[in-house]
Formats: sequence, C-alpha cells, structure tokens
Amino acid sequence: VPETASEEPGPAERAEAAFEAWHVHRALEELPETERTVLELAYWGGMSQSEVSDYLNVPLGTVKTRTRSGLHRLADLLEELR
Amino acid sequence: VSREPDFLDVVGKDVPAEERDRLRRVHDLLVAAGPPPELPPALATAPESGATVRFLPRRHRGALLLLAAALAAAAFGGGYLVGGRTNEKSTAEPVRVVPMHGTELAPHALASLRLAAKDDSGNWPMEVVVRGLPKLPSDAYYELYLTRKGRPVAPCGSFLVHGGTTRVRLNAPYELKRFDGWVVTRQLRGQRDTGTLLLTT
Repeated sequence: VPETASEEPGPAERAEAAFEAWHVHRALEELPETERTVLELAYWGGMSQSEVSDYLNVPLGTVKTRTRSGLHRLADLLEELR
Repeated sequence: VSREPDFLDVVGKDVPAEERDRLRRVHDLLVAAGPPPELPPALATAPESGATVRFLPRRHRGALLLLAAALAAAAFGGGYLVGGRTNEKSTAEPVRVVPMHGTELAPHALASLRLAAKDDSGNWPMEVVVRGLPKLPSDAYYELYLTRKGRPVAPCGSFLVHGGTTRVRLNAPYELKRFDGWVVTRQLRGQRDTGTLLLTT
C-alpha cells in the first residue's frame, strides 16, 4: 500500500477551526433573538427559508429580512472581534 | 447532521455584488462553524407563542435529534480544542482554556476556565474569569461544578462577583476525564441541592 499524506486536518488546523467557530458562536449571541433564531434554523436546523417561515409562522418576507439583517450584523460583529 | 443551506435561498438573488461577497463570507463561516456545543434555543424550544403547532418533516426531526446528541457529545471536547488561544492575562500558564456561556437565565454571561497543569497530588488549579453575572445578595453565591451526563456532580469551589469581570482561583481535585463538562450555579447559603444553572460549557 503506497504511503500518502492524510487529508485530515492536523491539530493546528482543528484548533484554528474551533477558535473560528467559537468566534462565530459568540457573535451570534449578540444578535437580536429574532435574527439569531432564523439563522440557527436555516444553518443548523436544515430548513429552507420557506420552511423557517412555516415553522415560525411568520411571513416569508420577514424571514428573509431577518436573515439578511442577521448576516450583516454578524459580519460587523466578526470584524469587531478580529 | 443537517443539510448545508443554499446561499442563494438564504440571501436571495437580488443582492448587489459587493454585499453578496460580504454575506457569502459570513455564510461560509456559519457553515464551517457548525452548531454551538449546546442546542441553540431556536432548535430546543417550541415555535413562537401563538403560532400553530407544526411538526417538522421527518428528515428534520431525525436531523435535530442527531444534532442534539452530537452537541451533547461535543460540549466538553469543544472547550479543549480552543485551549491555549486567549488574550487574557494570567499568572499561571494554562494548559487548557474552557469557554463557558450563559444559559437562558443568564444569556449575557460568559466565563473561561484557565486550567493549569495538574499537580502531583491530583489537583487541577484554575483561574475562572467571569463576566456578565450579577452581584448576588449576601445569602447567595456562585458554585462551579463538573458535570456527568450534563448534571452537576462534583463541586469545584464557590465565588462571588462584583459585576463586570471577576477573576477567582479555584481547584478541581478530580480526574477530569471522568466528567463531561462544567456548569456554574447560583446557590443559596444552606441549600443542599444544586442551584440554578447559569453558565455551561
């Protein structure tokens, strides 16, 4: 069997990724609850925007507005943290 | 655990190019970060008050159950992975830094446990840095516990805060590998059971 380098990330890469994730999670906690909720459902609940709208029983347009606003706010927060 | 969200579905197609690039970077960071080591409130609670109860599609229910299980398993390990990355000054060089965050009862509270090397007697000295917890009345105090299956089982010391940031030295005289996380509770003096959970890993 030929020896090949592992494609798995090394300890340093995993630590860096964990640190980045920690930053993202901390920034998320700063968002208004309405924005944080739609982002959590979309990114970690596996829901489309329409499904988030159904799940929360709020209009699709509201979900989209909250999502975009939340992403903008998150970008600002992440830039502040760096 | 769950499918990756489609960027265009999330932000829409009518976004100017410059804005789209900025949002794309945040989108990629969210995807890479994955869920936090505790189930986000949006995934742990029922829909908003007054909303019609709707059951998730079967694939989502399964995904959320798996997500909850994965998060429970990752809760403690995540703290170890970020070890050694901090800007806070300390007198003892930590070998591990474990971040803690507030529960729903203390959503703005944060803490970090800076564990120094275990001594020859089996003690893990640590400095606890706490922010965002309120000053307590004189009949109450905060207690740090190690948890097993999420339940506080091993006390590691008590402390008070003055508001703002508090640093306190505590000790964990246990084999840490026997536990799966940490919590901070609010205790009443004379109270025998564990109090209200305010911070968790």
